[in-house]
Amino acid sequence: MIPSILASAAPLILAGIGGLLTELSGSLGVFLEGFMTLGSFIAWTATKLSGSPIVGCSAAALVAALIGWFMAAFVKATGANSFIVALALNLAANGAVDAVSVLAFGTKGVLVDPSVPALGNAPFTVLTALTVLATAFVLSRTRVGLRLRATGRCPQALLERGGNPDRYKAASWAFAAALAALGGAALTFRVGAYAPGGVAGRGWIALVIVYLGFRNAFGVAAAAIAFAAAEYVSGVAQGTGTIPATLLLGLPSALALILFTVTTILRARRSK
Amino acid sequence: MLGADLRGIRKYFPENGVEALSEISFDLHPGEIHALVGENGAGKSTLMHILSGLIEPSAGTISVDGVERRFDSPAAALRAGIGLVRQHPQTVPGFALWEDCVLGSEPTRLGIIKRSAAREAVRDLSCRWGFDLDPDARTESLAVSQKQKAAVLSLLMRDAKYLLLDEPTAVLAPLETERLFDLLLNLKAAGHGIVLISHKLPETLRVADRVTVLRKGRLVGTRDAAELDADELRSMMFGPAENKKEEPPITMNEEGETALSIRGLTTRLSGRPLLRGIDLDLRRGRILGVAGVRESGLETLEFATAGLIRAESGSIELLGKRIEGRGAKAFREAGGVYVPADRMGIALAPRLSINDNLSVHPLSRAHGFLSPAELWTRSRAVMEAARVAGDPKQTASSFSGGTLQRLILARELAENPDFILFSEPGWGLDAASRMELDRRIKRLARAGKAILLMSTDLDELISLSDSIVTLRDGLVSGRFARTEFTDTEELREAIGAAMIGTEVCLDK
Amino acid sequence: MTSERKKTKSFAAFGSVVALGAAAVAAAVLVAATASDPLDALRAFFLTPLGSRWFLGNTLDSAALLTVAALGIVIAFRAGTFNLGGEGQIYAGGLAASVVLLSYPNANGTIVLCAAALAGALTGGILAGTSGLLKARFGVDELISSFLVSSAVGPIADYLISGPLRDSANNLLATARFAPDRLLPRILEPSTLSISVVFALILIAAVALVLDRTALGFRIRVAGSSPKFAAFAGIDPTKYWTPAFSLSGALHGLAGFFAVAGTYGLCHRGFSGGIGWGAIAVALIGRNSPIALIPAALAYAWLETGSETAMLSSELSFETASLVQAAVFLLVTARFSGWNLSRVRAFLRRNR
Repeated sequence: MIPSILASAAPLILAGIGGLLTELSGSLGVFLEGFMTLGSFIAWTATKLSGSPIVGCSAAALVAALIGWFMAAFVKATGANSFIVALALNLAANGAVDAVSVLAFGTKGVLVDPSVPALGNAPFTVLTALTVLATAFVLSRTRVGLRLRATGRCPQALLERGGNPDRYKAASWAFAAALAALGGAALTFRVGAYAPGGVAGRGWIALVIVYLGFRNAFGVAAAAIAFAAAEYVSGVAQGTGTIPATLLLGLPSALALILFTVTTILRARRSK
Repeated sequence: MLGADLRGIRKYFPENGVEALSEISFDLHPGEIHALVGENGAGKSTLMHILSGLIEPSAGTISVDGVERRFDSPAAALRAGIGLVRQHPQTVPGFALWEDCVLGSEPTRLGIIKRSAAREAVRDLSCRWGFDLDPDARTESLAVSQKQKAAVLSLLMRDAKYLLLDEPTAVLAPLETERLFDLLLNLKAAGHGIVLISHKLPETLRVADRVTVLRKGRLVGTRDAAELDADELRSMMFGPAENKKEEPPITMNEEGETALSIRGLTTRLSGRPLLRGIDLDLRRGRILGVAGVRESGLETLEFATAGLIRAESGSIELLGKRIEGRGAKAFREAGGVYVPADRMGIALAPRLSINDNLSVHPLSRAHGFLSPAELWTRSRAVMEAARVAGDPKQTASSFSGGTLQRLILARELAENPDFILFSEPGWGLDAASRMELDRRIKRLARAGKAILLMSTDLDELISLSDSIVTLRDGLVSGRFARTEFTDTEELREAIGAAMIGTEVCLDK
Repeated sequence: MTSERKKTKSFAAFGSVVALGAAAVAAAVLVAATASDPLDALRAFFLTPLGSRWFLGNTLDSAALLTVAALGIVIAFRAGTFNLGGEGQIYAGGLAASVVLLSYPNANGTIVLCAAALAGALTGGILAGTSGLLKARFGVDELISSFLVSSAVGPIADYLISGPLRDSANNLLATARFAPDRLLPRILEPSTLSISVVFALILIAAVALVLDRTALGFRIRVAGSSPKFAAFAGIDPTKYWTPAFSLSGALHGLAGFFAVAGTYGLCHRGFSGGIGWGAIAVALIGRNSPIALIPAALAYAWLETGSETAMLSSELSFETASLVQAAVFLLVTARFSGWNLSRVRAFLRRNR
């Protein structure tokens, strides 16, 4: 049971860490959902074309990072609203994946191919654990982490001390995109297929998890695992047929909403 | 040839079509204190922003130690050894002091910060210069004077040779200013080159080696401080015809009934006490000045009186009505208006049109349908009263600071108030506008209004107020009646002492 | 003295036109590139939406739905909030209206239609109002909370339509068709255009009137500008968030009613797909002005219909709506926040 919960938490944790990085840089990226979809699709496609899952995942992460960096540059260059640009990416990701899927593979539905295997729990669980540890370390102990935290809290101070806050914002978006894409790849390789709609709102829940985890890498991981556990329980309930499957799809969002509200209230109370 | 050298600097801002600097040449030697003076808007800050890499000049060259440089960011200037200390230095909230100091020049091994090395370095430097700063202190808990020291420390840690200080003394009490000047002299002795921007002429002349005067973006001249006296300096700054005259002694207006009465005002923020029981009285026809450094509770008192925040306990009675905790609406209904220091942030909405901004008071009380024609006429009338030309449809952000101050004042006075709360009214205004504003304020008092004047500028307070109270640490630390003092210097000293408390030594 | 920079409305409108034009070009290129017969596809793209009564009517109908929802977005924006839960509010509103329309078989058709409209508006209003309340009372970010409410409600509505409310007589995942007297009268047969377009225009006038010509609208503007200024003016912004958000949701719910009672005649699963996002695009193009929503919605609906028809005419077909929306979002927000050509040039220069 536990390995399975951890494995199902992995995509959420990866995206959540990405969200954490953007939040710390002061410009929350609400594009996690879109990049997870994109990553899931690209991982599948690249693996099919190259025959290697590693190539597939790398391609997903790289493409996402490039797009993420470019989006940040666009926001900076044109003074655009970063939320709307991120929302645009969510929409574009869905549309583009649909379009390419139809054009290249002739279908909008599930994509299965023998060259894209189900990899089991281990690889992504390990990757996720390493990511969490690395992030926690970098944030608290390194120069990069210090400057990233400064970017979010007082970019002017960083600028005056010779740093470049814009570079950190762009980097946080690039990393977040890459991590979310890897989260999507994890979804693909869990079942060995690309399923449209498979992301199912995890990108948005990842945002909530950033706050639930008190903006701290280990907290994010813990919150994600708690979520995955709740999903597991609801999956069991699904199996027993007591609550209709369709309804249960709405449960994560409802749960996220409640927890989001509670954390916000608690944080407000604490700072009084 | 050692030193920082600016030649032919020109800065043009296309957004407002303003030529902020024309053909400025300025140089800074190592081991000297070079004062940069001029009235507000003369271009002093702009010049220093260029030298420290925050903005780029439209024309001209910068050379450091004989090598021509281009500073496209503060990082580049820091690499050349030039750093800027602002009046209100920015520190990163939530960081420890040592983290804030090493930010940008962190001692690292393979990218990992060497914590103990960093903390030790901060502690050592702090001791060496007599700062008495705790590396682990939280940045939020630092007073402005400490933040300035931390900023200097941060620059010294990266071996900055040239330190530019932008109006540091404006936010310091007299005793803290003394200590700052001692520090500057020590730094100078150690070979650093220092630029000191200040509008406090007597003190500046005392420490400076050379003085450069700017006026309206042009260089008036650079002289050795030893050759200058205050009068000659003033004439360089303002021109012979605009010499500031000594204020005639204040004549007291007829005293009216009590307009404002504050008793026991107390409040805290996150456990930190901001006001600890303030008592104040103000009568009609009088101007009461409130002096204090920024952290003394001045701002809190201001916001509480204007109804922007609610104090925990105490009472505020304005023109017979109790308004504490009842918001800005009650404040206005009682007959008060507020002209805040933060013009763009509080008194205006930058993205709304001027028409909207000027109509805000009647419209926040009105109900039902509006008549655009009526509003238009009203806005036009206010703009005329403020002698501002332009289209009311434009957004507020497209006007300049001085213009906005006039508009705000005209808007507030159109409400026919009996009580006016001014906060830093002369901030950012040039000398002529300032004098006119002073005259208006005095006229308002003569007309029977009650005026509360909150300011960190002692000169402004002394020239306008009938009486002055000082705040220190959330308490009233002194009350002074203007008529008791014939010598303004004596008054300044007394106020300064009350503001900071002579028996308390800040740094030991 | 400084020269004052002019920021007039015509300058802003020009920007929106440019953005829309660019989005249209981008969509056209995409369509032409993937179609088997590019010229034919392009003709379909640009001309068909206005070509026949059927297409014209559908385009207008789509514009009407978008407008009503976009009005909701505008109201939320004015008060300084962002309603991201539009899709769910439309869906739930439409479903609630459908339930009413399928009930009370003996009651008068017009009365039931009114009740259904009310039900739709109330449902949307309550859903959004929850987010507004959470923001006003507890400071919960309304962008995320409204989205979460919407995604929680979606599956519930899906379940109800596919299950208890499903009409077993046909093979659709939908409710039963409404009785003929419970449908909004059609204009311009055989398209789906109904009198909802008239109501849309009335709503635009009403909202424009309230927002721009009443003291209440002014106070909403102030509440949405800056919190410190609002406090200075004696206006408590939190008092406006809940009502503004509820009204925003109500308009979305109403759009849902118009969709089921006017356009479709029943409530099928996922009918609201894309209207919510499209409404945001329309509000962005119209730069938050209720009157400007008319040309904005027309242009957007034309763009959307055009790309869909062009798609259908070629063998391959995929959803273009999302891509169109994304393009509009990107291009308009660059304008929305003040496109400055010199800034772009400086940026390019620096990064050469």
